Order: sequence, then C-alpha cells, then structure tokens
Amino acid sequence: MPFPPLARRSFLAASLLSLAAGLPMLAPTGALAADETIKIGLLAPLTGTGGPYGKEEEDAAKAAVANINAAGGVLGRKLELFVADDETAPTAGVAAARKLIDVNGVSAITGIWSSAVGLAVRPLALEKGVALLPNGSADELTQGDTKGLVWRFQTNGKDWGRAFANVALKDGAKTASILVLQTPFTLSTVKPFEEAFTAGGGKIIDVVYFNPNQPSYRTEVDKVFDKKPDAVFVPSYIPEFSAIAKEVYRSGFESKLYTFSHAADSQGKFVQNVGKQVAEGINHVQAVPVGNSTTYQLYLKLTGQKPDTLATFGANVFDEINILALAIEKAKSDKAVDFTKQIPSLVNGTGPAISDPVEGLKLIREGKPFRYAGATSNFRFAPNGDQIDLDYGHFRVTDGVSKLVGSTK
Amino acid sequence: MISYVAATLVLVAIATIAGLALNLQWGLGGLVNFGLFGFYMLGAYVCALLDTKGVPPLAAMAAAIVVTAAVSAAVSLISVRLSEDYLAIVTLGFAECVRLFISYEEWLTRGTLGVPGIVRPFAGSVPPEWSDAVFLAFAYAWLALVFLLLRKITRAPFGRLVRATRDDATVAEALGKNVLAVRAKVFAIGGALLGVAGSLHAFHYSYIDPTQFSTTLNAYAFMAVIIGGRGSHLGVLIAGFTVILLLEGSRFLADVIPFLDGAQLAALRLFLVGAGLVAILIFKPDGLVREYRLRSGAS
Repeated sequence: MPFPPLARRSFLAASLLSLAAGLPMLAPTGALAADETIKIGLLAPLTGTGGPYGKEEEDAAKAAVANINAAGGVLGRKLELFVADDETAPTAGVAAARKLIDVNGVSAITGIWSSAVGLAVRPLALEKGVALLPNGSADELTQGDTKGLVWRFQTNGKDWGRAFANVALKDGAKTASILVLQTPFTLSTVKPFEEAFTAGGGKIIDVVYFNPNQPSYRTEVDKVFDKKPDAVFVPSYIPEFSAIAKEVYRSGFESKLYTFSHAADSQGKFVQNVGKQVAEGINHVQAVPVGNSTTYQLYLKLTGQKPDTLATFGANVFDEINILALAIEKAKSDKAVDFTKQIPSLVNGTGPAISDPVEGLKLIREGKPFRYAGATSNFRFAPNGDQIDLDYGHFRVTDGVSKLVGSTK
Repeated sequence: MISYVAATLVLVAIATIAGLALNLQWGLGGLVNFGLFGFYMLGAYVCALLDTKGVPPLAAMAAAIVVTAAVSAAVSLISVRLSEDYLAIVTLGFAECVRLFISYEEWLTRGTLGVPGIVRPFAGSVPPEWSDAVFLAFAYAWLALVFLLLRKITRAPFGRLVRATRDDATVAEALGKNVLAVRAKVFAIGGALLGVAGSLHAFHYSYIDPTQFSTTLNAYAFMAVIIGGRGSHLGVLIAGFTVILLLEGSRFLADVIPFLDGAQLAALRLFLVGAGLVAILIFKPDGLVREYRLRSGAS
C-alpha cells in the first residue's frame, strides 16, 4: 500500500464530511412533492456588488406574496417563495438558479439584478422552460430567441441612455463626458447617450471606463473632470458611484453629475454613504411614476417604508410577483410556457387601470378587462419582452433629499 | 433534483481538476501560481471563441489546452531571474492582464457582454435529455485521466526530480539537473490541466463572461490543495469534493432555517463555509492525506 494507515482514516473522515455536506441536497424533494403551492423563485444579489439592493428585493417579494396569499392566493393555491443568493456572480447565480429550478421546482425566477448573472442564467431557464423576469438592463437579455420566457422589468440600456442625454441637454449642457463602469448593462447605455447627446447639438469629450472594486477612482476622475465638461454621465451602482462622488467633491470639480436613481438615491443610502454636502446637486434619472403611482404607494406601505422613499429594484420585484400571479390566474396554469403568453396582455390591455393585484385577480375571475399599472412605471411590453412607453423622472439631490425637477421620454 | 446533483458534480470535477493542476505546480513543484484563474480563463475563452466560430468542440478544447500550456511555459520563463515569491506576483499580474485584455478587446472577445451559445461536445449526437449525463461522464473521464496522469508523473523519476527542485533547487542543480527546464515543464503541464478545467467550465455554462473568472477560483484551488494536503493528489481529490459540496450544500440552509431572512443567511452561509474550512485546518493542519513518498522496497 502506498498510503500510511492514517491516510485511510483521513479518507473516511473526509468522505463522511463531504457526504454530510451533500446530504441536505437530497432532503427537500420528498417534502416538496406533496404540497400544492405555486412555487416562485427570487434570485437576489444578497451579497457581492449588488448587496445593497438584495434585501430590498427580498422584502418586496415577500410583501407581494403575502399580499396575494392573504386574499386567497392564485388558482385557489398559495404562492410559495424561494429565495436564493446569486452573490452577484454569474457562476454562483447559475448554481443557485439550478437549485431553484431542479430542487425547489420553481416555474419562474424573478429579481435577477446583475445583467451578467441574467445572461448566464438565461440559457438554463430557456432549456428548462422556466420564466425569467430580470431587473437587468443589458439589451442582450431580451435579444435572440427567448421562447417568450424572458420579460424584463426594467428599462433597457438604450432607452435609458437616451433619457440621460435629454435630461443633460435640458439642463443646458453643451459638452459631456461619460465615466462608465464595465458591466453589460452600464456599457449598453453609452452609445445611445452619445448619439442622443450629439443629435441634440452637444459634444462628447471623453468616454472613460473603470472596473468594479477598484481601490481608488482618482485617475479616472481626474482624466474626465480636468477637461471641465458641463455634464458627466456616470453609469454605475451605489458602491462605485459613492466613491466617485466623494473623489469629485474632494477635488473641487464643478461638472454636473448624472447617474441612475438606484446609484444616487436607493432608499436614501447614497446620502448616508457620502453625506449631504457631497450629494448636493447630483442628478439622477429613473422611470416614473415612482413618486405618484398607487401601486408604488402600496409597495411602500406593505414593506413598511416611508412614503417618499425611492426604492426602484424593490418596486421592480413587486411588479414581477404581481404580474406572475395575474398571468398564472389568467392562463389557469402554473406552467411557464402557458402563463408567460398572458404577460403582455396584462399591461398592454384596455380597461380600467388597477394597482392592487388582488383586485386584478378578482376581475380575471369575473372575466372583466383591466390593465395593471406598475409600481416602477406605467409600462407596456414590446413583443420581445422589453418595457416600453416609459416616462423618466429627473431628480436632483437638494439638502440630502431627492426632488423631482422634470421629466422626459 | 437529479440534474441539479449532476450539475453540482460537474462543478466538483472542474474545481478538482484546477486543484490538481495547482497541486502539481505548487504542491509538488513549489511554484506558487496566484495567476491560476488567468490561465483557467484563457483556456475557457480560447475554447469558447473557437467553439462559437464553428470549430468542433473537442478541437476547440484541444486548442485551449495547447495554448494555455504554451502560455504557462512562457510566463514561467519570464520569471526566470525572479526568486519564488516573485513568481506569485508575476503570475497574479499576468492573470489580471488576461482579465483586462478580455474585458476590453471587444472585437475579439465581446468584452463584458461575454460569449453566449457555446456548444458542448457530442451535442449533435446525443438526445437533449441525455446531454447532462453525457457531459457529466465527459467531465469525470477528464478528472480520472488527469488524476492518473498526475499519479504517474509523481511516481516517475520526473516526479522525484520535481520534488527535489522544490525542496532544494541548488542541490538539484549541483547534481547536473536543469532546474529551469523542470520548472517550465511543470508549469506547462499545470497550464494544460487548467486549459482542461477552463474548457469544461465554458462547456458547462454555455455562456462565459469576464466576471465568472476572479481570484475566487484561486481561493477554491488553494483551499483544495491545502485541505487535501500539499503534494497529495488523492487528498486534493477528496478536498475538491469537500469544498464544493460545502459551498453548494450550504445553499440549502435557507430551506431548513426559516427564521432568518435571505440576506442574513447569505452572509451566514459564507461565514459557515469559512468556519468549516478553518475547523478542518485546525484538526488536520497538514491536510487530509500525506504526500506520496517512495519507500525502500516499494516499486
């Protein structure tokens, strides 16, 4: 024997250990097969770069499910929510999605925040015939053959880039630079911004790329702001944008900053991160009516948030669960291939607008027409699964609070 | 459920092959490769890009293996005049370069959008419902091949030479051995194995993008080698299973602990994985299995 006796004992110990680690995998199947809930997955970024938004999504999903279940559920059955952490990483996201699909048996996955995770999970969802309702904005998510399974609950990058250009032009900017984070979503906003800004008579000075998790953004900030553009568009998320805003403030640059509401507000987290002085005058843009939609107010109430909070990803997830419930009820089936066909008609239809899905479920049972007006915006769906027809609100941080100062298409 | 287990076992095989590659380079050869994820990523991208351009998957994989082996040898030569600790820095630097190159050179790699639609080997010739099973068998065939190959190398005179250069390079050199050539070869073989792991990764996910490759891959490989016992292939094999099953098994905490919410559990889960690994090292500081030693009388 080439191995000393100790090795065999270690081998046994290790085998037992790996077995113990693997055991729970086998446990849930039997228990889950018997009950009759309708299973929905939430693949949220609970850790990693998307961490600041994960809890918001989870709270929203739980509130939406509780709201629907309290009124008797869907097709006479309760909704059951399974939450998994994608760690904001595609590999972990795929592993977690496999667990949701193969073990928990969900028929839809909601809440995917990172476009990179969404793009990695997409082939799996299409292969298994599971509906995918992501929050990611990268254009590629809905391109190609989605088998009608992918419905994006977020503006696509193209529309968003154009909205930012309009807002900056309206503010009187003649020159603009872009300081962009390297992710599929943020990159997809760059070209549309350039095109719309140039078409509106503006001039693009620089496009500078940066990576997530850099120890410092000094070089990039200096490079962009030294040339004193009127406006700087910073497609990024809250961790990077906080660092950049601080850097800009420290260096005393005066160009106006523009970014997404989820980077420069996000339940007030941005101002908490950087302080009122740094946040003063920063512009952010988001599809509206976040502020005055009754669905959005319902979302805030059910999740126990203050009435003027801006929480866009939570609102996205709230819409996703509500639409799923309505679609399943309307299709009279919990199979993704059946109920995804109903999704566009729920928001594109005619009839009175409703904001509480419970009301919608009742109308479906009575066979009456209606359309669901979303929490994030009063959106409609294009056939490829993209949200269209959105109004964008332009917010500015004044004394630590985001105020709506205008809107654009 | 079965397909979930199959997918998890594929992940185990991929991580274990990467761990075995590191075990050859670092465990046996004493060459610290902090750039492991860069070679792995290179393998995945070469394979994926050729595959999506219509090259047959197996040919694409072969090309990936050859390219990573050649690049690995070249990188080890860059650091000829650097002492061993600096090799760690050079390799880490190289890996970052690969990652940045792939992130920015969109004309070649599609940048951060990633490469979709990677076709698995034998995809055309097996029915779709068998595809996962066939791929699982394919991955484990590679794992077995790699394991046997490394065992053979370790027990051959070349393996002795590799260990000698690790333990005292000066002595080996004084005995007329070409230490540099040995190290370049070790790095190249390790690189080829990382090419295998990278290609399997690309096939498994069928979509790759730069964020899938980070120092986390290094961490998994180093964990496998340290827990398994430096130099012991069998140890790494067991540890590869342990690490990945710990990581994956802990996903089920959310289903059995209902009173914590997802965000708390997610943090707790990663914490528990860490604590489990620390515990293993406390009770088994030298790893699970000892390195193979040639004993007198053994053949």
